[in-house]
Formats: sequence, structure tokens, C-alpha cells
Amino acid sequence: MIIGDVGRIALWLAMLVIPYIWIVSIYGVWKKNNRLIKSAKRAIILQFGLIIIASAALLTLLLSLNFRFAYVAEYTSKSLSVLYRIAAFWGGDAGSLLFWLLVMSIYLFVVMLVRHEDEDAYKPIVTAIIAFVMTFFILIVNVMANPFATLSYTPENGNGLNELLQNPGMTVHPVNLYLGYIGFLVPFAYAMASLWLKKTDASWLAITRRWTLIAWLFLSCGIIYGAHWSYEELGWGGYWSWDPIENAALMPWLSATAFLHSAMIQERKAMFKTWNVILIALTFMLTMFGTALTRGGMIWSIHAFSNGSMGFFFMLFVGILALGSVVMIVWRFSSIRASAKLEAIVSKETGFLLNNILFLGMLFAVFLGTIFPLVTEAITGSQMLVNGSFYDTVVLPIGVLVILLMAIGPLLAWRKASINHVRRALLWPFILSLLATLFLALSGYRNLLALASYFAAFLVMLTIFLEFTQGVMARRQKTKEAIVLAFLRMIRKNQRRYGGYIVHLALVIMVIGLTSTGSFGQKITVNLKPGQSMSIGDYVLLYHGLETDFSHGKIDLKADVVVYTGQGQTLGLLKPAVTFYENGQQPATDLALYSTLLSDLYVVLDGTDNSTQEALFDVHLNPLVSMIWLGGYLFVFGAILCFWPERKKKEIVEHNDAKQALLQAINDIEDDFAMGKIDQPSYQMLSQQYQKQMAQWDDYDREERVKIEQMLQDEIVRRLEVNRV
Amino acid sequence: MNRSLKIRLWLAFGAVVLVIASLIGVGIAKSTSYYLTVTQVFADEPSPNAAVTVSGVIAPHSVHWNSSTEALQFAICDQGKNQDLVVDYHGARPQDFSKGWPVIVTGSLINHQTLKASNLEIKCPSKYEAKAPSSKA
Repeated sequence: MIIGDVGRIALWLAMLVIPYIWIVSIYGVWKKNNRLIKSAKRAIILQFGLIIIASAALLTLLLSLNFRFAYVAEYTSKSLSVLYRIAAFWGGDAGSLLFWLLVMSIYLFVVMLVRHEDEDAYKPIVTAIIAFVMTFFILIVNVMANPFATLSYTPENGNGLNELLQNPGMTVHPVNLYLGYIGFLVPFAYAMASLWLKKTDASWLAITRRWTLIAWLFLSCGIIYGAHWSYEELGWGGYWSWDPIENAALMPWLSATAFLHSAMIQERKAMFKTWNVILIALTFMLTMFGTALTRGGMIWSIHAFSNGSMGFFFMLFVGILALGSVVMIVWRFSSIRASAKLEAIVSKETGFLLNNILFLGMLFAVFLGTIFPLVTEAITGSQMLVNGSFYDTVVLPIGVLVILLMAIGPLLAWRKASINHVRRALLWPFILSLLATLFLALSGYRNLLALASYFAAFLVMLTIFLEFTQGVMARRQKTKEAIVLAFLRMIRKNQRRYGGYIVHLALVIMVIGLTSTGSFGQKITVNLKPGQSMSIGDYVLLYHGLETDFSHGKIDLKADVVVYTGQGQTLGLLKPAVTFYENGQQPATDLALYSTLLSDLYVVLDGTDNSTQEALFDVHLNPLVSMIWLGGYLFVFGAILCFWPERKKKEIVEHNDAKQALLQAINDIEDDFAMGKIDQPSYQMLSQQYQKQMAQWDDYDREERVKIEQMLQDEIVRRLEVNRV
Repeated sequence: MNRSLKIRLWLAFGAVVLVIASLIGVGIAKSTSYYLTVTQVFADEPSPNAAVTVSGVIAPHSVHWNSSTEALQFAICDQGKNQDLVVDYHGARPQDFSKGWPVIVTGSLINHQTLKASNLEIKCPSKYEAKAPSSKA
């Protein structure tokens, strides 16, 4: 009991300390009182300690199977392995909310520690906003979902974690989603702080670039891993069903992806300032909205999450945050208006703008589809649902346009793109992609949207290939390096650009997999007697009979299916199975998979007749599924490359964020010019403009240095005089 | 930004927005169904052949399955209520399909007591399933 009490008391104390942080911070900023701000800083350390203690207490209770505690009894049992006892931490409602708090608490602590430009102004406000959000969670954990609640008796054994959740995915998928969801809190807090401080530059974007990318990467991994888990575990042959809970993860991803692109315009051109604040606020609101959906029971979902009243409080909190964000944006609107304007109809800026419209179009469609029952009920009094075909009709064509834009976007230069260059650069990729698509159409793959998707994907692959080869050639002309060295150094020199291309490449590889399975997958449901066979694609499946295994508390029913090629060559034995539980729990399907790079043969045992040994199988042939998962790995690599610290010369390290962005811009136009994306006059004009800005920074640095030296000298003189006295 | 550039940009992006809006319109027109509970089906009596999505739990001892024709018939009801809606479904029968599982069926009503289902989904296992053991904080 002592451990539980310690955890409970730590949570109570945290309920006092966390509000203290934001109240004292804001009051300190208002009164310009450094003592108060320092006190808030100490409270951040204290809340970190308290949340760590509470988390450690819950983990100890779970590992030691202390069934006196309702949460432990609900989600663990004596037969549960250590790994899943740990996973039970975030496996239930109360525990997962404490896990949220833990992640926020760590993020808050890290924000306090990380040094950056202008931190004295930013940090008290940023930490106050994070602590304000945490206050809501600590209240919920203490009042509505306390993981340290006890039972009136101690049960012999616990309920255990659902069998389907006892999968390595359980250790990866939810954690990634939480880290991603919560990660957007930090850039949101910096955006709001920047409004508060009337910052007109892109400093908040430069400070939070890594935070945003890391949160986005975690969210992406969570989505991809969730799809993979669903595909390999649930046995319905698919990986995405447009369920509200899946949409809840997709929506912030869409707005965050739009934000990552439009943030580049602000960093480079000081445009879209208000828009970026709106996008990051929207992303964070959507993560909270997604949480409300999973805890709410407001909308029917195939995922059986809790149906408590907690969703209402989450929605209320989303409303408060949204209102606060709108007030901040309106209040500071005049100070964050763009200082530059679009100069041409075809430029990188307009490309990014179109990208934003398309992503937000998809987001709006997914949002509308998700809340459609609520909207129709409000208007007509009856709830209506949209099915998967709504999303396919809207999101897939927009998705194809996004991919086409992915092919063209990197070819566009800032300010004003040379149309001739774009035409020239696209000519061969266009012809080759068209030929490849025609070949597919003639081979029998006749689905217009699928062919458009393949065409767009091929176009992206070829333009990226050309970007890399032209980049290497341009570098070799300057440096005379060997090809491999030039390739590696080119990437190292501009990780953001080439990391971005790798992410694009990964996405189109995934798109090829998604298009192939979605449009050309086959499914056959067949009832077979032992000795009977069926064929699908180039495979023949021969059913031999059923095996039954009785083990503690469950019965495994396995079918023996031998797989042959059409030519009679044996490929292997598949054992699709079903597990029945004596406690009446829903049976678990254990599908069998014969996976190659080109296709997955996916066999599910759907029904059996024990007297005749007849079995009903669901057999899927899913082409190129492996592309989705391989693309996922490449995606992670590309995203890591984007935020991995670049090696910089010593003098660059000393520059502030804005100056680094300027250096990056100079780097980019040099590359663009070397690759023929911009003409000589544009290059000269931009180059002069950037050099002028750089000179201004140098002057500023010089003045600052003189000031600091003067201050140092004054201080030395003062101390000498004090000593003399 | 000069005036003609501004107009051209507005036209171009306006066209994109229009395309997206029309896709949404088409999507809604072809994919909506009324979403009801079993009690609402009996209370509202939606018109026959109307597309509906009904959620409920499988009524005990109501499942009939013909493996040769793959015809599955069962009834669903609201938890704790005794009005049953009969569901006719053609397709694979999930294992052990009888224990009060929550399901969601989409199809059209043949009459006020029978639904011909084109899609059958079973809720996946719970992560935050509330079993509410008696507890004290």
C-alpha cells in the first residue's frame, strides 16, 4: 500500500505545483519580477520529480502485480509477461493519462534546460502555457481517472491485458502516438509566446523546428505502425478503415505536414506569419480533439475505447484553448502581418501555398466525415454516417494532386521560377512516367485513379533522381570529388533539402504500395473440405485439415494449408488459426502470411465445422504491400536526416538562428543556380540582397560585441574599485 | 503583388477549392446512411430501402449460419432492451458469433423488423474498456 500512497500523494502535490508554475510565471512576467520567474523554474523541477515518482510507483505496482489497485487488477494478470506489464502502464485509461502527464512533464523539463536565443523572454511564457495544459491533465488524473484507486478487496488474479494487445506493437504504436501528439504542444506554446512578445521574425520557428519535426516523425511512425499492426493482427486483410479513431491520428498529421511546408516560407521570406500560427494552433487543437474522440464515446467507432464522460471535458478544454488562441492571434494580428508579398504565379512560395490548400482540403474532408453524425444530428435531428467510399472519393484524388505537386515543387525556385527550366526538367521524367503508366494500362491494370497515382509516383521518383544527379554533377564541377564522396557531402551540406527529398521518395514508394493493394488486391472467401484446393493469382492452396490444441484457459484451432506455385512447386505450410478463450472473451484470429517483396498471400480462418473438418477461409492476395512498410523505414531515415544537427564551421555555430537561416538561403540559391533552376540575373539579385542582409548582421554583431566588451570593462573597473575600498 | 497577379492567384486557388468542394459534395451524395440504434429503428420507422447503419449487440441464440450458401442471419438489440432487429447477411461468419458482441451493420431495411446488411463490422478489442470495478480512491 505504501507505494500506492506515495504515488497518490505525488499526484496530489503535483496538482498544487503545476498550477503554481503558470500562475507565478505569468505574474512574474507581468510584474517583471525575476524572483518569481526563478521560483516557477524551481517548481518545474519539482513537478518533474513528482510525476516521475508517481509514474515509478504505478510501474512498480504493475510489475509486482498488486491487485489491490483497481488499475493493476484491470490490466494485468499473473500470466502476463514483464513486457506487457510495463505496456499496461499506457494500456488503460487512467494509466495512459498519467503517461501523457509524464511525457508533458519531461518535455517541460527539457524546454527549461535547452538554451536558445532570447530564452529569457520566451521561456517563462512557454513554460506557463505548457503548465496550463498540464493542469487540465493533472485535474483529470486526480479527480476522474486515478490510477491509484483501490478495490475494496484483493482479487486472486487480474483481468489481464487483452490478447490482441499482447503484441510488440502495443509497446510501440501508442507510445509513438503519445510522443507525437504531445510534441506539438511545444511549438504551439512557442507560437503563442511569440505572439505575446510581439515577435515579428521567425525565431519561434527556428527554435521549435526540431521539436516539430520530431513530433511529426513520432506521429507518422505511430500511424504507420498502427496500420501494420492492424494488418498483421486483426485479420480483415486491410490496414486502414477510415474509422474515427484512425482519422483522429491522421488529422493532426495533415495539418502538421502543411505547417512544415509553410514554415519554410516564413523562415525564408517572412511571409505567412499569421497562417503558420493558425496551422500550429490547429495541429495542437486536433491532437486534443483526437484525445477527446478516443475518450469520449461521442462518435461510434469500431475501436472500443472508453465511453465515459471524459470526452466532454476534453472538448471543453479544446474550446478554451481554441478561444485563447483566436484571441491571441486577433490581438497581435497587426504585428505579424507579412512583410513580403508573392511576386510571381509560378514560384516555390505559390507551390507551398497550393500544398497547404490541398492538405487542408484533405483535412477538412476527413474532419467533416468524422463529425458527420454530429453535424447531421444538429441540422436534421437524425444522425447520418459516411462510409469509407466518401474518403476514397475525396481524399484519394487530392492525394494524387499532392504527389504531382511533390514532383514539380522541388524544381521551383524561390520568388520567381524559370518556367523554361521547369519544362526542361520535367520533359524526360514526364515522357518516361507516361510510358510506364501506358505499359501498366496495357498490361490490364485499368483503374483511372490508380493509373494517375502510379504516373504521379513515377514522376516524383524520376525528378528526385534528377535532383540528386544534377546536384552531384554541379558539386563535382566545383570540387572535382569522386561521385560517392560528392553525393555524401552534398547531402551532408544540405540535410534539410535532401532529407526532404528522401521523405518524398519514401512517401511515393508507400503510395505505390497503397495504390496496388487498394486497387488491384484480390479477395476470395471459400469453404474447403480436407483435400480440396483453391487458387488465387499464381498461388494454389491445398487444405489438409484441422488441428486442435488445448492449453490453459484457451483452445487453439489451426488449419493446415500447403501453398504451391501454379507450376506445382511447394512454397510452404501456412497455419491460419483461431484462439477461443474459456472466459468468453472474443476469439482472436491468428492469420497466416506468405510474404514476398511483390505480394502478400494473407489467409484467415473464418469458420469451421468440427464434425466434417470443413473450414471457411478468407484469402487475400495483396500486391506490393511490402512497399508500404519499406517506404515507412525510408521515411524515418529521411525525417531523421532533416533534423539531425548539421556539421557547421565554427563561426556558423556562433550565429543566431536568423543568421543561420540566411546562410542556408545563400547555400540554396548557389545550389539552385548551379543546377539551372534560376537564371543569372535572378541569382545575382538574390545573392546581393542576401549579402546585404548578412552585412547588416555582421554590423549588428560588431556593435553587440563592442557593447559587451564595454560592459565587461565597466564591471572590472567597478570590482577593482570595490576591492580598493 | 500587382493586381493581375493577385487576380490570377485567386482564380487558380479558387478553382482548386471548388474542385475539393465538389469532391466532398459527390462523396457525401454517394456514401451516407442513417445511423441508428435498434431502439431508434423501431421508434423512427425509417422508410424501406433507406440506407441505414445500425449498431447493437448480438441477441443470444439468434445466429443461424448456412455454410454452403454463406447465409448468416442473426438479431441485434440494444444493451438491456428486448426489441430485436433481424439481420440478413451474405458472407463469411466470424468465429463464435454469438456472445453479445457489439456490432455495426450497414444495409437497407426490408421491413421494420429485418435489415439486409451489405457490411458487417465487429468492434475491435478494447484498450480503455470500462469494466468499472467497485473502487475507492
